[in-house]
Amino acid sequence: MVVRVVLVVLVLGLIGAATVMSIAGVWGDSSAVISTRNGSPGGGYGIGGRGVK
Amino acid sequence: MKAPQDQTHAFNCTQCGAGLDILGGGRVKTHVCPYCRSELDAQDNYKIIRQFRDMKRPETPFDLGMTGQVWGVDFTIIGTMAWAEYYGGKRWDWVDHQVYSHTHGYGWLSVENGHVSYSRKTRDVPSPTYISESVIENSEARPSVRFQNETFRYYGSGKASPTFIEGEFNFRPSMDDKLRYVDLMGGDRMLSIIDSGKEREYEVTELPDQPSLLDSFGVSKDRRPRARGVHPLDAIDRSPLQLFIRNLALAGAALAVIVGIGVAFKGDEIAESGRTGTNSEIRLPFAVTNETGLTQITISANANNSWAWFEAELTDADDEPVAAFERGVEYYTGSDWKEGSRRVSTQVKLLPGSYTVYVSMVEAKVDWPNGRLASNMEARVRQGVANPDWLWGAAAILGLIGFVFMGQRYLRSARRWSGSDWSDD
Repeated sequence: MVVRVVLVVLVLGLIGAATVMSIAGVWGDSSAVISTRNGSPGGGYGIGGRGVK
Repeated sequence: MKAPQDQTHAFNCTQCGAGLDILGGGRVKTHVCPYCRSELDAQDNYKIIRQFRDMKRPETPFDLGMTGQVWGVDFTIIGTMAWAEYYGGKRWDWVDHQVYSHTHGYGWLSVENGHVSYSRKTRDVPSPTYISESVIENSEARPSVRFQNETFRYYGSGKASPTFIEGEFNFRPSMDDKLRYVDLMGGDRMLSIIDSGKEREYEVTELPDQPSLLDSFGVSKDRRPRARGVHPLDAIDRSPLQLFIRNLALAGAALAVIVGIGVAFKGDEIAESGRTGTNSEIRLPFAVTNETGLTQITISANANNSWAWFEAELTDADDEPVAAFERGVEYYTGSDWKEGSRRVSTQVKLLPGSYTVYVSMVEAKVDWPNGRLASNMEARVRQGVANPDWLWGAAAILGLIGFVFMGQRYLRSARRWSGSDWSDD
């Protein structure tokens, strides 16, 4: 029973984490976007992106 | 626990005088002496009926008199009958052992390709009651019957003759016997329709746990048969936990897809340019207030059987450039087809603040009959847009786990049916 509860928690955790990342828009920038900010070529905003501004 | 020995009696072969045990209960009709191969009438003072000659003893892990358990029921090996079937220049061999139980009567332990199965006669009759050779030859689909509320599908058929007979039987075997059989497989049981020419009988075969069965009958390690291939009745018996994992993974995948569809539509429109001629530039100011999610800029144009290319620049409140991108739309249509899209969306991660996006068409071309260049365009901005790829990824991982379990079952099933002589051609 404990194993099953752990598995359910794992699956729900995976879906929950994916939902949070999705809503935050992580890695969702279009590849066509080029940042014109100095020192940030090619839209390299980093994981979780703080944005271009 | 070993089965208690049957109430053992003995007699001397009326042909050769050898001492023979009687193991098979009151319904035994025939006793074939293992020494002189004489077939004796067990119900008429062991009168000699005939004598078999030139029989080659088959390889089998069982001997007459061995006792053991099949699904907890005590059985004694009382007879051995080897069979051969010829077809298309090939030969198939197997060995049937008649077994007897005080409580469950007679049955068979069959040894084929190193697998040991248990069969018993049944008085239940399938519907239809028989599948003839012509039905098998002329059917477009695999024939099937209903039996005990289960569908049994055609597996194989043939004609077999004995090659060896020894011990006690509840019928009168003969080396001249020719049995026509039709095997049909259900979930984990095989239904055999056996036609001897004189009568038609039905048998149900199941596959006991092999190590337990052989241990129970005391088969020594060196006599254990080496199983070849997957037995048709060797279905995957999954543990409840494995089934739970499979179902949980598939349910999780479905949930991820549902949530993904939900977040894919997330976002609020914050600016719209309205339709503008493509010969001028769109200047669309907007304010991002949402800290989470992406900002989506959608450009649409009324291109028809043509393409159009746009440049866009994004500036902040100080009119400093923040980002730029180039995107194109292309749209083609015919009498019964269409391809491409008149709109294209671009996502960018922006912190809260005021921005302006400038959009202008830089190139366009008609490259299909009846084409028309884009004459007007529009820009829209949404904020709080999600990136559902994470949920598609979670769904893919969970779905893969579930489908691996399902695929394993499918492959196992294919291997179980691989010995069938049915062809769809």
